[in-house]
Amino acid sequence: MFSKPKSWISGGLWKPKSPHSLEHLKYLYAVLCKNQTVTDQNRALLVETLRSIAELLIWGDQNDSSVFDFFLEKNMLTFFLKFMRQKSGRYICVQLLQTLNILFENISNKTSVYYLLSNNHINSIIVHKFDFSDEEVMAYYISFLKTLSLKLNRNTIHFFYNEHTNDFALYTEAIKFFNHPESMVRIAVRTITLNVYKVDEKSMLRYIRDKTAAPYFSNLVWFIGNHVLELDSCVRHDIDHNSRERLSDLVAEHLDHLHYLNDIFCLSIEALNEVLTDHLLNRLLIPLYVYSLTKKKTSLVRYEKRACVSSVVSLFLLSQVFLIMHHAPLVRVLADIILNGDITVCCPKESDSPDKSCGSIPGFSKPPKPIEEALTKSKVRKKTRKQPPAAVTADTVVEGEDKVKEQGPCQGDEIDGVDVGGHGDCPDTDQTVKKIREAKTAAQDDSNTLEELHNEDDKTDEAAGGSVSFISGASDEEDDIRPNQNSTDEEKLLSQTLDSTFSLNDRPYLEAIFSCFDTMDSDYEVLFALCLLYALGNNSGINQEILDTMLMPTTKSLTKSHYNTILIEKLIRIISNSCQSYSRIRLTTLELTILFLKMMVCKENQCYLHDNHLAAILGATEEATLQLRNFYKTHPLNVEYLTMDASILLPPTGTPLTGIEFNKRLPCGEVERARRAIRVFFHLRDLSLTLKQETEHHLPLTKQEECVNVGDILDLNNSDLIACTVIQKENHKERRFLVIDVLQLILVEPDSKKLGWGVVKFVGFLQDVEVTGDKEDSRALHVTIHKPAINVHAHPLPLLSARFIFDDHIRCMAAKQRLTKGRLRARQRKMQMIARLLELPSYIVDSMYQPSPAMTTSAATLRTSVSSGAIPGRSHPVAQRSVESSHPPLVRTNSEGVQNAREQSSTSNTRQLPRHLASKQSRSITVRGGHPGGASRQRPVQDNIQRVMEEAGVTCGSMDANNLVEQAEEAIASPEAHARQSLNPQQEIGQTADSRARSSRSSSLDSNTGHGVQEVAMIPLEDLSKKALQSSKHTDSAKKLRNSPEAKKVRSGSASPRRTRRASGSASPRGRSKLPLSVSSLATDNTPDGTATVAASVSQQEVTSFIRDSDGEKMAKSDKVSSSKKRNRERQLSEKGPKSLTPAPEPSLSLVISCQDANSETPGLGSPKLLPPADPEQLLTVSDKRGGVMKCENEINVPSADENCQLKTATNRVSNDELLHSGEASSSGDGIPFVVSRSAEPCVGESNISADISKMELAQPDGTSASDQLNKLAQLVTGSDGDASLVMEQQADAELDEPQSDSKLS
Amino acid sequence: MSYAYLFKYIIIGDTGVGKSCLLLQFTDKRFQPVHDLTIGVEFGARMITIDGKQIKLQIWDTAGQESFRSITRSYYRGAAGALLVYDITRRDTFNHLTTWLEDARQHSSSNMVIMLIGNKSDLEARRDVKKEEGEAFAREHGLIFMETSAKTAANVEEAFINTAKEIYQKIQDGVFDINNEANGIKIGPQHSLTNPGMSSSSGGGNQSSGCC
Repeated sequence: MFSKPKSWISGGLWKPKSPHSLEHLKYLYAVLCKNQTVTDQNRALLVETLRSIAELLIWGDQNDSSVFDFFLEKNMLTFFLKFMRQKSGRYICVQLLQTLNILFENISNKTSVYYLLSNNHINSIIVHKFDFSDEEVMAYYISFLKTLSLKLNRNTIHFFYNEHTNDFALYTEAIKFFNHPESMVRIAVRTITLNVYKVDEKSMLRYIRDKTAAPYFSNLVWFIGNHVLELDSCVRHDIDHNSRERLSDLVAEHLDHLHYLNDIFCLSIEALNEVLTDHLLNRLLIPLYVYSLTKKKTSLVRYEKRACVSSVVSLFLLSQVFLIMHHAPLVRVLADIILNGDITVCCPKESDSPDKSCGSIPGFSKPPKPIEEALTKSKVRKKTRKQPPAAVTADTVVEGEDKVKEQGPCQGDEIDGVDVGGHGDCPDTDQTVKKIREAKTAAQDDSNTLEELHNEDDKTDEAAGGSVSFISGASDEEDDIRPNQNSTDEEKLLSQTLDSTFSLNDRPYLEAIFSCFDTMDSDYEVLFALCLLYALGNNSGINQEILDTMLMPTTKSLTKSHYNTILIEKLIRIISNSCQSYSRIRLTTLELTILFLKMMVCKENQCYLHDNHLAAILGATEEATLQLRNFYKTHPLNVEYLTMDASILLPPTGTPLTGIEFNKRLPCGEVERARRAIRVFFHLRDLSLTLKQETEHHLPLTKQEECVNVGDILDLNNSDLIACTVIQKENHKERRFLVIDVLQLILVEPDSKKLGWGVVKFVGFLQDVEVTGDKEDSRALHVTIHKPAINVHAHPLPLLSARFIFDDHIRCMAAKQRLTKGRLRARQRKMQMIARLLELPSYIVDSMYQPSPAMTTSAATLRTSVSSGAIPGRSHPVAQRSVESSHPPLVRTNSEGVQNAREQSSTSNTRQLPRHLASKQSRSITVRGGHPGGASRQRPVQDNIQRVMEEAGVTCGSMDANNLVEQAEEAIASPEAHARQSLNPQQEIGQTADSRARSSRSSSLDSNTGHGVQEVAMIPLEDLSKKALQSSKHTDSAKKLRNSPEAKKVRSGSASPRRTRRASGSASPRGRSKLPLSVSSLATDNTPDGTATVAASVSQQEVTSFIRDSDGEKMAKSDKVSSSKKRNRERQLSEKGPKSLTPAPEPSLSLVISCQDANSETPGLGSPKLLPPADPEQLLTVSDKRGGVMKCENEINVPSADENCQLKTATNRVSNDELLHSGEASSSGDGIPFVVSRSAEPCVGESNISADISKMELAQPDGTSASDQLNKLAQLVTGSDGDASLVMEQQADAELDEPQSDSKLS
Repeated sequence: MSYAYLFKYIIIGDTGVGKSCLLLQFTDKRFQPVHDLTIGVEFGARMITIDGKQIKLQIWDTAGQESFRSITRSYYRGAAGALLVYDITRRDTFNHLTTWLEDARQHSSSNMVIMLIGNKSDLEARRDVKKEEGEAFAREHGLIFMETSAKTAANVEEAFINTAKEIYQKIQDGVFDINNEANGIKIGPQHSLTNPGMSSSSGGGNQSSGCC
């Protein structure tokens, strides 16, 4: 600003108009010339001038080379130096540095850069003593150095490194800040050093090695060591998990160090690496890390003063070392010492440490000189000097200070004679050093060396002996193996499997590691021991020979026929221990164990595990199978990531309040215990499969290939579509059609090319859908599709959060119902698949998930939600109450249902409808029961019927009704048995139907796929009488069905089983569930009734034809289907329901008992035809049929629902049309809203109920061990309150899908 | 030059997306954007005001150091905010975002605020990545998103300042432990004195245990 007047005055210069021109630079130059002294007055001017110069030079570099020439010509860099050196120059230092930064960063012309560097001005600037206490100066300075280092190459290096004077300011100045408190500065220093090392220039590297390596590395190692001590104290003093933040920083810092060192190693500069290895091993890794392994046992008084960390920390740190560093000379020596070294490796030095023989050691005693000092003299001495002050500190303050450095001897030249003389180990040490240098790994050498080193045999033996006994003592309880070779048991084992013997004698470090496995009350140490062994096994720098000394085969082994039985048995013990319900083994530990086990015994699909060991594992798997699990972790454990997590360093905790990931802590509460059991199962299942060389078929539950993806083009002819406008947050409106698939919610846009096809614009999993109505707009729904968390960091933003506006509120309701149902169904499916996975006896599966099929088939959301165990909704006491009240009518219904059935049986299908309706009106409940779910429902019913018939010995279908009556009564008495039986087919049906639907969908949404086999599946119940023959497998039921003159009968018959089930459902501790009510009123209200009615009205042939067209997956839109008559009736019903209901609560206990009775009864009856639940084939058939039924329903519904979609394909619609329309019209009345509101409520109560149901089922005496386990789970579920169970199941769902979402407690 | 807080940022993204230009554009207003000039720096600092508080932003470019694993991971960890930059005219830079993000998540503290920046928005004619795509990516990964132009300075201020606001908000919410400098947040000289209460509550205890 005032540059202008000044320049005018001072130099007669004028500022050129263009800031980018040679003239301008000339002007700036003039300004500099006029202001060669920095003062307060011209400060601002100079700063601006320097800044402008930078800008101008860059512009010149890109546009006009004459600018740069002028700059060089005038040697303007000298101004920079002059300014800096002035007393007041610091005012403009920042600007100077920025300008230099900009110059070197941006100038692309190589020659220009060379010119800039050529005068040694830059080196002068580098060595200038800036005011580094100013953090801004520091930051700009180090950035400047970093920028320069990035420019280094074989040509430019000579501008910085002067071979003759042995000056390398850039490097030496930089490393002085290696331990700067500011992390960014430290990082920059590391960057600079690496950039320097990277330059392949021999003389420079020689200089680095000879003159700077020792001081730098020794200081670095000391710096690291101090970090480690700090880390250790942090772990030790943080029992409360308070300082995890700090701890994680320290751990990360340590990792940074290791990575940095590894980066250096990876540059493969032999000379440098040798020095680094030496320092690292002898000043840090061995003395501090390795020694600390045995601390627990050998913490003899005499070592007290040694710096050490807890054995857990040392295991952890060593694991990190082996996971990160693969530099062979380093890791081999280290591994050898750990695996085969004996106590003397450290002992001799031990005695030295008090003397501070190695005193110079940076690790634990301060480096001989601070790095600045060391570097000022280019002559650096590695020597460790006794530093009295250091010794003092060691004695007085921290144990850590002195001891470490027995390794001092490595640097033979520096060792004080006194120290060396004091111990016989000197030569040995030298040997060790040599060995390191040569990267020798032979165990013998080492042990020999060590042997020689023995100057304290007694001590060693004592220590070894003590530890051995310790181990054997610990292991006695569980396994007979004892590390001590004296143990006969062990010998036996060893002789079986091993060529060579293995003993822990004289291997204090290995023994210390092994002893970690013996404490089962906590897996704290176990985890780290595993980490370390695993890291050893996976370290590419370690050759197999070393590992073979402890019989640890790895992926590098050619054969794994020999392995360390002791170790394996320890592993197996961990595994089996983890299957116990109150095991203290964390999941991570288990995972790691498995990983490690696989590494040791598996190779290319071959498993070398001995039979007895394999058997043990399979046994454990068996056990785990019995424990439920929710979680499937698809991402393999990454041990390196694991050891990056500081939280595992703290003692295992149980509380989630710490924020520690679930798998890294112990389960807290019942829900988590269940989750844990589940995960244990997954891991073990995986292990077993691997060991048996089988492949996984059941997992993951959601297969990507089964899902519709965005961009797919689907054939939507004959699919259920609901038009809607999707409004996202940004008021972004899109017109879409909503399709609800088995698994997914799909939004499509019509395909412009193909009529009736749609382009998928959005997909979301139904299980993640959350739907709420809009209070203000009855046509609108708020739909949120939650997103499985990709990782813990991502905010759980919903995949979609939008308002869906439909054409009218009817469609809106329909959509809502479908979504709700779809969600439940999707979750049900998951549960079923899990059940199958767990190889639960199918009857349990069925009973647990019975509701799902119902859901699938019937449109009544209430009903569905009731039955489903996984319902995510919230509990609504109201709903429960209403359920209770509804119970009594239920009973009545049964008897009535029988009558009804009779009536129905006598009528023809077509005519039945009206009658049915009539009867409904009069005895609505009965009707409903008899008519339950429309086609979908009937499957189970059918089975029941069948069973009943068998029991009664009646072969004639016409007699069914009677049987049914009885059956129904029985069912009431012992709901469980019936329920179970009836359910399992249902269950299977549901599954198959789903899978079928899936397959059909995958081919296209068109349901036309139903041919051949599928066709069979699609047969509606009504049709079964005719077509049942096709389902050859389902002989019994088929027969019965065939025999029964009309489907109607079946339906009516179905009433009783259904009731039964309801009853069992209602048996939940909460008293009556809403089920009965829902069954009666809801079913009628909603689709099922309507569907049924409609279906009835349609001729059977028509139905069949429908089947083809309809997609089994589509939900029936009951509301629209139902006729106005029905509506009225329903309304009556609903009103009636509560009044007529007299609560007759049955305690759940009694129910359980009754179910047991029933159970015992069943076998008695047990003609072979009793639908053995486990018979998959039969089930399949049934399910297929079921699917068919569903389709039928859907088809019927479709037209009504999708008028706007113009999906009027239906041949048969004609007859229905009126009905449908009337239904729609009527639906605008209160009927639908009523239903909907109801359906929304009951979720939670229902889920509880379902849980209860499952519990009851589990209570079965004849249950297998699996059922026992399930039982436990169920108890867990029910034991906690409804919400908890919900949470769990939701979690289960979530985890199944997205392994990552390690649940926070919701 | 005193400040209440110092936030450290890093800038990440493929080479050539304009990271250093963005950095210079923000940290040094004196460098007016000029069409025939591309100029950038690897480090910059600037003071801004949020909520009446002086906040210093220190921005470190990580360019050129990708070959060393130790360096990148350290950088990530030391920063409170990260600007993840891609070039809207080069789809490949957009495609690499996932990798960058994974890296960042892997190595950074989970609290690090990440802003996604589509740079070179001035080159509309050569646009290769739609703004919506950037938005979608950001939404999906929980990032803040903005399109900027280092050339015209459009949105550059906002990008850095919004990120700072987010960090500041997190401090107010107690998410960041401000006493832990490893977070990339530093309390200003005068501020630290007035803040002992906060510090002790948020983890001072740990620190004391750590230092002895």
